[in-house]
Amino acid sequence: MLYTSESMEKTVDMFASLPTIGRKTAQRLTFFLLRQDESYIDKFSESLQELKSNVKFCSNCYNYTETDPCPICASKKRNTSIICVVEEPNDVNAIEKTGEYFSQYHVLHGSLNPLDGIGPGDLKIAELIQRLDGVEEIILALNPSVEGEVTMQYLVKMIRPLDIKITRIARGLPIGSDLEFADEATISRAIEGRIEI
Amino acid sequence: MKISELIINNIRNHSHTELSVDSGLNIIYGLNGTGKTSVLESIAIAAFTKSFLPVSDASVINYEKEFYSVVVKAVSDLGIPYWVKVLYNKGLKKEISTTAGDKLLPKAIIGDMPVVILSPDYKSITFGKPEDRRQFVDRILSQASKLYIDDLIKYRKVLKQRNKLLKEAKLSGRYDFKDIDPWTNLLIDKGASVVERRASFIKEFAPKFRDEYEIVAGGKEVADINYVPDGIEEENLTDNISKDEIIEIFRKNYQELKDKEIRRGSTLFGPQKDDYKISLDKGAAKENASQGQHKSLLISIKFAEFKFLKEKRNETPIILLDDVFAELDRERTAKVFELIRNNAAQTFITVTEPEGLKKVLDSTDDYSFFSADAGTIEAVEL
Ligand SMILES: [Zn+2]
Repeated sequence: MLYTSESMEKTVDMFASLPTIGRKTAQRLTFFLLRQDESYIDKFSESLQELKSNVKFCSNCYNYTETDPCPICASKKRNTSIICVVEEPNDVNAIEKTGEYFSQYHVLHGSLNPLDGIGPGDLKIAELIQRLDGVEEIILALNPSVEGEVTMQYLVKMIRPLDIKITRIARGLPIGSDLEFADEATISRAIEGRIEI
Repeated sequence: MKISELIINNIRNHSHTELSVDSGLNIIYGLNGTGKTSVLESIAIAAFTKSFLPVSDASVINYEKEFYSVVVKAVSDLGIPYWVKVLYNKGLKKEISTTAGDKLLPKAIIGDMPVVILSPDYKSITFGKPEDRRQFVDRILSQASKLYIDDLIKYRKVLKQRNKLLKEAKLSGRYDFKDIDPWTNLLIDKGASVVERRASFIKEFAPKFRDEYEIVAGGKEVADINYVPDGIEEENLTDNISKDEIIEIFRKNYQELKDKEIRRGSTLFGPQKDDYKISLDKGAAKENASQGQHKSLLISIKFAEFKFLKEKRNETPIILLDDVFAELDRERTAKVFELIRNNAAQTFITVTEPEGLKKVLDSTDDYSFFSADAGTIEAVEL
């Protein structure tokens, strides 16, 4: 499509580069922004700037945080001998929402995926192995995709020699559904009914 | 299952077609390119979320339009209403909703409205490549079992991922078992599930196929179908072969092929290489059957599919016959109609001219004629 303005075209391109946003939606969002007043646009761009400068990885669990260590890792109330390993920061949110898990997390930031060029070195696996001193149980809460399954096998092979109990969340989750989309009761039950592997 | 209404938007030369259906036998006639086959394609899209022809989703969309959609309203054998809507916007994921909910994945709806299709394109089942027969069986099993679709999709994904790793290892000359082993393990596990299901399917399917062939061909010769899984010797393929036994065989095959896989840079064992042997009086049909026998084999295999699905889903499948009567003699045409009548299945038939079929119909048949012209379908009295 041809635009009468290069700036509009650039904005549409940016929106369209976001996941799940198609060209049409990108246009709609651009037109929406054009109709807003200056202060809205300022707030919008400010929040984007802050997002990148303020948010970083927690050096312990690799979740996104503004303080290091993150509030979860810094909490004195949390059990540090259990670590729940998840693929994405979103999965931490999903489990936190249940309000029934009081130990720690480790975010891998993805799963093994050769087709996307993601190997063990691209995930926070070495970082996980480094923080296992004094840990008694690792709960693997990865997605039930083939990539999640293989990542789990890979982790088991790495952790097994360290003599730490390894469990995986129960398959109460509907076939093929990601943690992110499951409801809280289902997640609670999946963690509660975890099985040793 | 019986379709009562069909709404087609932007499929091939249909821009908007609404069809009320109240007969069991529905005959759509018209010259080539009038849009009669697209009606069957639309029903297939409602059942499988894609056409039965080997075409891309985008190429099904009406020229210069941005989307297609199909809505089918139907009633189950027990009288329960069912509807399904498939919407495809160019470049986006299909939006699928049914009576059961919105935003469904294809695998969640395949089999809900069982459909059996006979089209000249399927001739390859009896004399084409192994791939054609695998696709045939996979389609039936996918409609019969959601677990099979799940296993198959996962197997294909693992295979692709593992092949990528093997190819990279070949190119770089570095082979790390630590990285590839988990993929090999999952490949073997999912592959064994697929093989186990295919084996037990053929065990159930073969007798049905033999029976149907006897009806169609009049008992002149005996037809059979056997499973020929890759890397499993015939004597090991017992009637009740278990997943664990298959895993054990695959492990052995993997050990033997391991070095070759590294040299070739791809997976060299597993169900992606399976075949099914169709035979007549113990000889391979592919080489030995006459043209007429091939036609009888195809009709029988399709009606065996019908019987199998009906039993598995507890639901009478809808039959789609795409331009098949031009190639069938009077005797085989009569057999096909006999099978349709005996099973009281709703059937959609496309033909170029209706006169020949009219002669086969009984006054007791519940039928309607539709004429197709430039993407418009109209009910007509003939
Ligand atoms: Zn942390």
